[in-house]
Amino acid sequence: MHKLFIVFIGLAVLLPGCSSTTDVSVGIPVTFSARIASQAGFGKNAVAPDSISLSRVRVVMSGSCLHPIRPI
Amino acid sequence: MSSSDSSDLRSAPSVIDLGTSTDLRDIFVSSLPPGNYSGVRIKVHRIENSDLAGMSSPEMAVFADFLAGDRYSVIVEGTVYEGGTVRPFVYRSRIDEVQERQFAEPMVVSASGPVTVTMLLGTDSWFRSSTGALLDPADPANEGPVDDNIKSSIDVFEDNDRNGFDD
Repeated sequence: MHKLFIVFIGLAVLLPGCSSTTDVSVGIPVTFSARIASQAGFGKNAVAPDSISLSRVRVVMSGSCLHPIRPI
Repeated sequence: MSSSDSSDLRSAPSVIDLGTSTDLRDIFVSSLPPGNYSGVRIKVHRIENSDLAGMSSPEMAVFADFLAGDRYSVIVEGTVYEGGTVRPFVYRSRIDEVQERQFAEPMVVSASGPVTVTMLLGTDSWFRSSTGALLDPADPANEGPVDDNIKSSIDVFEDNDRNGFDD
């Protein structure tokens, strides 16, 4: 039982560092942001023939930082 | 180290709702151990069952539109002006795309300053062929070229000055 308790505590310490929440108490916050490169669509003149304008863009994404090289 | 070393630092999936603004929008904040990181990886992907495990109903509701049918990773709404007609459209993509950027200099994650990673989407190329012609989102034949355009338009970089461009 004692060993199980230690394992549980160990997981409780390690897991927050793997999370994607905004809990910054165990690490350094890294903000992931996004933007579109230009006004969405093309043919900005809405009456131009054969053109497209976009009104909403939604994307599912996840991110990660690669390869911790060495601790600071 | 192999790329799998980063797996424990992967974020949970999020939905980016960009509208049409070119302004930078924060998606999420990850709490990372201090250190030097060789790069970042962005994955645009369909939701997997393992992603849904443990989500509350409100959290799952955010993904509702992406869970229909065969599941989607990108949903675009807009208007087509073609041949004198105006048609609204909704384009749904199933792409699974990974963009990885290795930095020339390691990205330093420390208490000394904020760190921002930005994903850039070149939406102006999504519905355009290589010759500049319109790719009608309603035409199933255009699904492949449009998806390829979406994939190739994704870029990711370190953006600590938060101006939306590569530092």
